[in-house]
Amino acid sequence: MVHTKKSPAYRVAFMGLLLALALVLSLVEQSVSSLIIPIQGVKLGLSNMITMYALFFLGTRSAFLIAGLKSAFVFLIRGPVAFFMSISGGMLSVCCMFLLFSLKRARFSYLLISICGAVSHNIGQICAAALWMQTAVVFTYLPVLVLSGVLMGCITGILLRVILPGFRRAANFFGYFDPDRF
Amino acid sequence: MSIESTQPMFFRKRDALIAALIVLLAVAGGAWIYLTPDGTASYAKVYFDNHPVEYLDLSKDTDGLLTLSQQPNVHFEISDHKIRFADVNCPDKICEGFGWIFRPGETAVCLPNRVYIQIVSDTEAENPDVDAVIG
Repeated sequence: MVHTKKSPAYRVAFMGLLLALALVLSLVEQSVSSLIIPIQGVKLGLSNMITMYALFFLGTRSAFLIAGLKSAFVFLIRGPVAFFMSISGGMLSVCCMFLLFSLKRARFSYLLISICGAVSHNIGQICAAALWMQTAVVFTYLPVLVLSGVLMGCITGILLRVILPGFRRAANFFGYFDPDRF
Repeated sequence: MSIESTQPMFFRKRDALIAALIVLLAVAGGAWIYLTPDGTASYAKVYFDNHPVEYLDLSKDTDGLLTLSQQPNVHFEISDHKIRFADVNCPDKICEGFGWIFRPGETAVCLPNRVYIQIVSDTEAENPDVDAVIG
């Protein structure tokens, strides 16, 4: 549980801010990635940074909330098919990252958590596609997506690292973080 | 109260090895999928609702676009032994993003329209009732 003296209204507004951030990042990467990365289905996954921030600093529930709300937004904008893909990838991704993060003994690094988050996001989406189409044929795309997941996980992990000091200052400033995580 | 100390580190050698292992597995899988020879590939097998409905001959360049009677929202274009989704009526256009496919086993998928195509070997296309051919 997040122990903070901030009121529920404050936390709701903060979540809203984070969600907006995640959506903007998603939008930006969509505009850019078609120019830079021509490979079908490969996404930069910038909004995963927000989910990771929530997971590392605000608590597991916040991370799931961000992922779930983002998928709900996708449902409103792009329809049920895209929603199914988004929520499968998002939920599996947060579950995997939460698993790795909570195994304190193993002390997995941020970078690996980011990589596994990206890879599991892609795997979740392939499984969703396989379920939707009732076929295993889509799994032929798995190697490409796993590789791109590793690469993109590295990139978002590095970006998160760059932003981390700012996040830490913000968390100190806002007084909104979960002390149990540290 | 500030945040420090027992947080996970950013990067560890052991984790780099784990990541390298994942990459290796993916590359191995990719090699297995794309390098196992499957004869020449001259047909695209079209599925609607997960049932095969048609074999499209890739040696016949289309003059314009083909479509499916079961699903008139999708169109295909065949050129130079390759096929792609074209002019598809769907919200994402992810299917069109697959571009031209031609290797045996390659697929392109349109989820909202429940259509996908896969490049198949000649032996399968010419003997659709046979599961496998030996020799």
